[in-house]
Amino acid sequence: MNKDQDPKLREVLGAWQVSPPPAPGFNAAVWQRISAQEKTSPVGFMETLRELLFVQLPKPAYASVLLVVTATLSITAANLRADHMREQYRVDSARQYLASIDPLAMTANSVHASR
Amino acid sequence: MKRFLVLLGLIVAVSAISYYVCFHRAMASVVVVTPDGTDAELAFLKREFALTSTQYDKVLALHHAYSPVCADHCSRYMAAHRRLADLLKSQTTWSPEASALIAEQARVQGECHASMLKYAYDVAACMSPEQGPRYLEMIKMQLIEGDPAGMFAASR
Repeated sequence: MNKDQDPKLREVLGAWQVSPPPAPGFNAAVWQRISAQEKTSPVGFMETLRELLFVQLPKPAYASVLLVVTATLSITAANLRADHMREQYRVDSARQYLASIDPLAMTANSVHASR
Repeated sequence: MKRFLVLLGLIVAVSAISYYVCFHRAMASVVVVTPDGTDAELAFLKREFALTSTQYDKVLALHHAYSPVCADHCSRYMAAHRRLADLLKSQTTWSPEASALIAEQARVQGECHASMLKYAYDVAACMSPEQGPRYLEMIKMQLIEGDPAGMFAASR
């Protein structure tokens, strides 16, 4: 049956409005949920951190990047320390050599050693 | 949790191994020891001033010839220094003897420096034209400033 062909039915359908009454305690329930969400937000952060550390990080893509960064930092730290120690060794060796040819440096070392 | 602990273990292992290997490789070329293990101070010269075997042998001979001279100067300077120190401890007023001992110590000091400088010029003459002046710069810095560290800081 085609409704366009029935003017009465068309009139009834045009005037029809759906206005269901709100559920009892709807507003209270909404505010209760907001309050509960606010109270549980720190746990949410911990959950996020936990998810990041124990689930996301061990994934091969992240883990391999982390290992590459770790190796790069370690190599940089080792090179910096080696550079510093090489320079120190160089100066110490120079002083040791000069002490072996400079009578006054020898004397100073003897005087310091005898104190 | 288990995968996280495995990752943590891997991080510690990778950082420790890469640090250890890299540091030891970087330091391996630093310590140069002479074949017989003696004259360690000359190993520094060999590395720092890139001495060839022939140059090193000449420097070694000069060094061995100079060592007794240096030891003699050292003992003479120490004796002069001790005499002056003893006199200054016992005297409370000015004396011509103190003046003479100060002059004596300065004279021995001058002889030490002159002898060392002559040895240094002889050693520098054994080195290449590029390294000889660098070596003399180190000696002059020791004579003038009492420490060669400034030379190495400048060459970084």
